[in-house]
Amino acid sequence: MIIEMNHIKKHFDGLGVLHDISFGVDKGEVVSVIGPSGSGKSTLLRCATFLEDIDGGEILYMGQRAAYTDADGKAVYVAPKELRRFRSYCGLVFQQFNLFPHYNILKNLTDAPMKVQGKSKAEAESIAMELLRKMGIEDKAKAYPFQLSGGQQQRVAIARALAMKPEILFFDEPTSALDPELTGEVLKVIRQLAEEKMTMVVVTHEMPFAKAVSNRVIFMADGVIVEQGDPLDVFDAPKEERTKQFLRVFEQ
Amino acid sequence: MTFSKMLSTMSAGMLRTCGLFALTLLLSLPLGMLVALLRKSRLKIVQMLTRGFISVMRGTPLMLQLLAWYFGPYYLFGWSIRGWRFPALLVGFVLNYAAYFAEIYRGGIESIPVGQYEAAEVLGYTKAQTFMRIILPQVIKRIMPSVTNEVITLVKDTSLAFTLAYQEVFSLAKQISASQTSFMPFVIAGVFYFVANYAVEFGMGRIEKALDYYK
Amino acid sequence: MKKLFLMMLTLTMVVVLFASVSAEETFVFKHGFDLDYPPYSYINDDGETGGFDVEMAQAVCDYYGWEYEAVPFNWDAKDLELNAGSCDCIWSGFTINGREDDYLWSIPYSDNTQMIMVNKNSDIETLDDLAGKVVGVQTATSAYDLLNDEEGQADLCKTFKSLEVYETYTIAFNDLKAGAVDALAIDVTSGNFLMSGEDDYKFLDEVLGSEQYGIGFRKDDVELRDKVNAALEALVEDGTYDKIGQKYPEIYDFLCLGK
Repeated sequence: MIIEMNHIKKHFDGLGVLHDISFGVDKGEVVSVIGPSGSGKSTLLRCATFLEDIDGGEILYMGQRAAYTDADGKAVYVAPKELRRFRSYCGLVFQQFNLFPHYNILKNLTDAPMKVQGKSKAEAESIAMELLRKMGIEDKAKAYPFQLSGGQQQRVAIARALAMKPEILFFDEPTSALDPELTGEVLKVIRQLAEEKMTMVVVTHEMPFAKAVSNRVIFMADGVIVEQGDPLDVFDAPKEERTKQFLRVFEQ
Repeated sequence: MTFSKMLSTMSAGMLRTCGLFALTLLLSLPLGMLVALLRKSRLKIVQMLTRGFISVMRGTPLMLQLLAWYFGPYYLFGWSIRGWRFPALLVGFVLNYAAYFAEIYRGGIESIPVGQYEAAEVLGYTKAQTFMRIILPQVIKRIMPSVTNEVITLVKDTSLAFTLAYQEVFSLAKQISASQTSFMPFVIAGVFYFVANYAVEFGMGRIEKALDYYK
Repeated sequence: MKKLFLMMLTLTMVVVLFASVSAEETFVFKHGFDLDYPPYSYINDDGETGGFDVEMAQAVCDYYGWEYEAVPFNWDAKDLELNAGSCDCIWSGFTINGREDDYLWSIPYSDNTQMIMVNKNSDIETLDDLAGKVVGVQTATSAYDLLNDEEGQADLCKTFKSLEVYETYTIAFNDLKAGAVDALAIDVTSGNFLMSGEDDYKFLDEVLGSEQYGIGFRKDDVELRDKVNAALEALVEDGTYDKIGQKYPEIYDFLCLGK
């Protein structure tokens, strides 16, 4: 298993957001996380990528513990240096892209590999150009983020995450900030990655996409996993009432 | 006094003005960053002290601060203040401007979207790398107009050095005007200041333009 | 050989001794003054620090073999400077009258009077004519103090239409030229200095007040004050005082030592 999260608890200012969530992702698996807004999907991703600290439970990457709950019931993380190693296992694609506006596209892709992973410029650039080609935007290497469309920017953001060679890539509503006509090009890229057996967790509202691409769908509501399983089962024959309710809204 | 003598005497004063200006800028720009970071420290006591420092520096006249820095050591501790005139002047200017720059920096830092920090964190940048490589360059671009304003104010504020009898161009203008019963020294001083500020505007404009490659 | 070595050793010791003694004994006389006050202390035509007071202070230093150090200061901070010891005296056309108890004073070395300066063809002839007129004065001067002193000329001041207070007499004089003020209250030396090279202005015959200039020392600096007094007298004796005075015709008539 690439990642394993067990009994995760998280609350903001005393308000519970994640209640005892457990799930794991196998290598090559594509998992879609769906659910109404405020259900804790994004928080789950942010905990998995260490942007938020959990309040309880444990996180394992590649079978190693990155965080656990001690005898006093407090969440404990490994030392910062260790944690950076765990961070390198995962990548995150944001809803708002969050590209570095002062770097050109190529530099957005090469800076972290060079400065964080110590790769040579030549190596980092060859990886970056390869990824840009794959994303169909190699001609934009010298452009700056503001010169690109939203769809192009998000593809750069995906490439930037991939340039770090993560074991698993998380997507936090990758198409929500895009105009409808631009979502297709981003989804296409994710689909392509799925075909290449990239391990991915995608928080999304694109139900047809989730159904078509993922190996497993997790439906979350109010900070718990209500139902999960094969996309065909969850979408076409949901067992739980909450799931049915949620999907009904989308069918309309 | 011939006109050319007046001009050369005042040029020497302008050189002193420029010296004070350059040294103040050189020291207060980085010091302001330190103050801004201390201001955002997680230690409450550090935060409070920095905040107090900034309000005193901004809330009292610079002229008063200069007097305090120069005479303070004698009147508070009885120390000899021989040779302390220029250092006191510099300390006064640098700390005052550092406080103003600190607030400009803080505004700039706080205007950077949190997503930039998060993107850097997920990519594995250290805190220092995140600040130096991702945040600071963007902050600099954003604060350039405010910094330019402050720098131009500094050029003119150097005339406050007369408080500690530093022979900068405006003090000289006053003195030569008194001895020559003429307004010409003030006209010359005005031209000097304008040229200096024009140079500042030009220089800062070039920097702003150079940073204009992204939005 | 031994003799030579001994001689050299002695010589070295003498030199070292002499150097250390002289280093200890060379007193540095720190002359505090305002560069805004021609012709007592100002920037001269060569762009150098000069003036009657500066030359006299240097002469006193030469007399004793002291080292002279010029400490130009900001006039508003003169007491801070004196008390903090960054200068040893205030010697800058400094009026004794009204400040008798504030400093330890040298003997007065120059007289001065406060006068009213008007346009030559002005209808103002006497102090009484100033009633209802606009009068200009420089801030922090004896003329200003006099006009605000109840025991001085405050009553006269109340007859003015207004008293305009200026940062410098240069600006005030320009306002007189432009007709923005009718008269200036000014000490005679500054007035003479302003009027030199101009024919259109005069003083009223009636004097506003009179005063004397001296050197102000810290109150506990009796020894230094006495030494400077002695030097002044000696410099009058040997003609230096007169010689320096002649370089400043606008104040020469007011120099009062030895008269």
